[in-house]
Amino acid sequence: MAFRKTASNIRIGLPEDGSSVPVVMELSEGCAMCTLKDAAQEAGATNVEQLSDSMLSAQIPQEAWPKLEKLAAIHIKPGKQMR
Amino acid sequence: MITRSKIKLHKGCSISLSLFMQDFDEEEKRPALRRYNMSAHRALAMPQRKDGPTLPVIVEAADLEKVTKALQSGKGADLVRCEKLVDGMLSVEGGMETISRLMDLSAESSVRTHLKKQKKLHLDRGSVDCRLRAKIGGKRVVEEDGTGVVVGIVDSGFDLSHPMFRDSAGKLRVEALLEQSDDGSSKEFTTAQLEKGWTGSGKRPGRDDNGHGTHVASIAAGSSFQGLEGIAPGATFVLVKTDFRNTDVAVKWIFEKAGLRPCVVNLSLGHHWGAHDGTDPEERLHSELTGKPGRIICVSAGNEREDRLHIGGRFNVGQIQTVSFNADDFGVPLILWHSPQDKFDLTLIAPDGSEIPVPATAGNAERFEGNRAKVEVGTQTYAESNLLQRQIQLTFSRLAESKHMNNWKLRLILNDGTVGRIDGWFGNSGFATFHDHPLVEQARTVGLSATGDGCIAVASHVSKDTWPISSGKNTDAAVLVGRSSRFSSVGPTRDGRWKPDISAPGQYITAALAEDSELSQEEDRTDSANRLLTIEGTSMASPMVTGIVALMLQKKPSLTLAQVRAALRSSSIHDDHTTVAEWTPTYGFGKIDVAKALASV
Repeated sequence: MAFRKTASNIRIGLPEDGSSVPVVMELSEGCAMCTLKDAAQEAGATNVEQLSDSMLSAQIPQEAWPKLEKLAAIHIKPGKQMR
Repeated sequence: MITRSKIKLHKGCSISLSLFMQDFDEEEKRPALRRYNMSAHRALAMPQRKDGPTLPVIVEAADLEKVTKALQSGKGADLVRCEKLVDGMLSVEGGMETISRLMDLSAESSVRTHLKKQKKLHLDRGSVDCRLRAKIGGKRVVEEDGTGVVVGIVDSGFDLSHPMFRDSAGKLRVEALLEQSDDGSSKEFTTAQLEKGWTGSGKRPGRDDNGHGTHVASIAAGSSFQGLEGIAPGATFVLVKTDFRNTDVAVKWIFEKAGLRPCVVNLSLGHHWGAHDGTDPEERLHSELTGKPGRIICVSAGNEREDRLHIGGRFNVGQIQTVSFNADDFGVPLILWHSPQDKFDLTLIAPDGSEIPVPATAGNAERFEGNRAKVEVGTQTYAESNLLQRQIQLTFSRLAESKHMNNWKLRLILNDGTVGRIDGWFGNSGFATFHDHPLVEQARTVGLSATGDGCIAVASHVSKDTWPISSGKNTDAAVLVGRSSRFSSVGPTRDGRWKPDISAPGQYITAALAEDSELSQEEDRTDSANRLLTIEGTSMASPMVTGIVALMLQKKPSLTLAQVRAALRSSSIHDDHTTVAEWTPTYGFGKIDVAKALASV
């Protein structure tokens, strides 16, 4: 068959060039917002903006993902279309 | 029986003026009939004043001084206005004595008198349809104009040189603008910075390359311009030119800018990358932001009814279905959602017959490559609504041809389970199209974040079929005025909640045209000389409701989202199209009625 398996346990849909990704991070239980903010900034996140008591918007480098997902659920922001 | 009679044409007068005078003379002879039998010419042309009716005319004459003197002589008769427009042309308004004098002058010399035509508002069909304006004359039937309310628009940009963003004194009505860049950064502009940016020769802040945002904003709150006016022309604009990702940041920023003032935000944007049950982070954020009085968000329901981007259905154990699709883009996301109690086997089948299984258990993802495509498949738990999220991402090489992109298949088998329902959506319109199949549904095509509870989700119906263009007018003979637009996304949500909330005019809507924008190239949609654009979509219906909510907030600034929704619901129009049903998947709770909605708050 023409298709062959090349990798496992990937994160689907992340840009292959390794560029940073716009995300919303939602605090995991027991984690403080200030801890997440500090961790995001240490990891090289830009445009960090607190949306609510539990949500943080940021542009994060892909390599920061494993560290940050220990503190928060990370959702990639989808692109919207004009209606 | 048809009777025939001669009409006397007055020398030097336009035919419409002669017709008018004939009507006037006849009605004067039959005073008892006047109240009920006023001619159409007269009702449209003649404003009623306390001291009697007057008539606006344009007078052409070589000797304007002579005409002016004749009109002003004696007791000045009932002359209201006499202004020189250009050499050889006067604008005159007066009562019957003035008009008689003009007719005498016209009969004797080269004076020509023309009745001024009543202009129709370009937005009249939409604003009459939603009952903001009277059917005859087009006057607003409500006092509110949005004064004191902030209208926030998150969109493609804004042509701030357009008069619809300025007040009658020419001052910009935009209090602040946020420009988001593709790298996630943003820059804020004050009114003074915007004025400077738009009068200088440099880069114009918030420039609208597409034209969508300019149109949307002017529908909601554009100033009066050449007979065109938005719904809330007294409101204050706070605008965001978005990067189409950080719309959450944009909405929060607008509400912060509004401070203590009531505020309504319009999002004529959407996507299908989510569970369609109101649990997406942005939807939950909207619920939180609109949890306070005077904070409302309106979102377009989407235009995906006929786009074949959704499959859904309930399976019996052991049932197998295979649905095909063509990729329309080099990247295609497809996400399916079902209960973790149901054991669905999902297999993607490439055009060459290769089978690519989507992992059955959560926390797994794999990548496959071949035949000018890369395929990523994964399964994870979606804790927010106790679902399994099954995701497929196709990425094609730029060398891919139709034989590589067409005729992909997805095989679905329910091996065991209790609920049996599965739903899947491509990430948005334009990525791919399912072939005809019983699983392809028009229902559940309302997009995110319109599926959230923290907004008013707006569907579109047809309010007119003819619009102005540079060469005259254009008509769509295939639409039926009053009926739901064939593109307007259909509810309910995946979890069965009632969305859309309401239907508003969205086809066709004439509003501001952004200069040098992509849409300005559409000759069949633009009236360039008058800076007008006519397009359709739930994008156009949503700002109608946004403007109407601004009027409601002006009347009662402390209104909550729940109160606004209840008012729209209780006051909506039900007709032969909507039926009497309390809610329908195409119209929501019915068609919007501004006057009744305002009366109910």
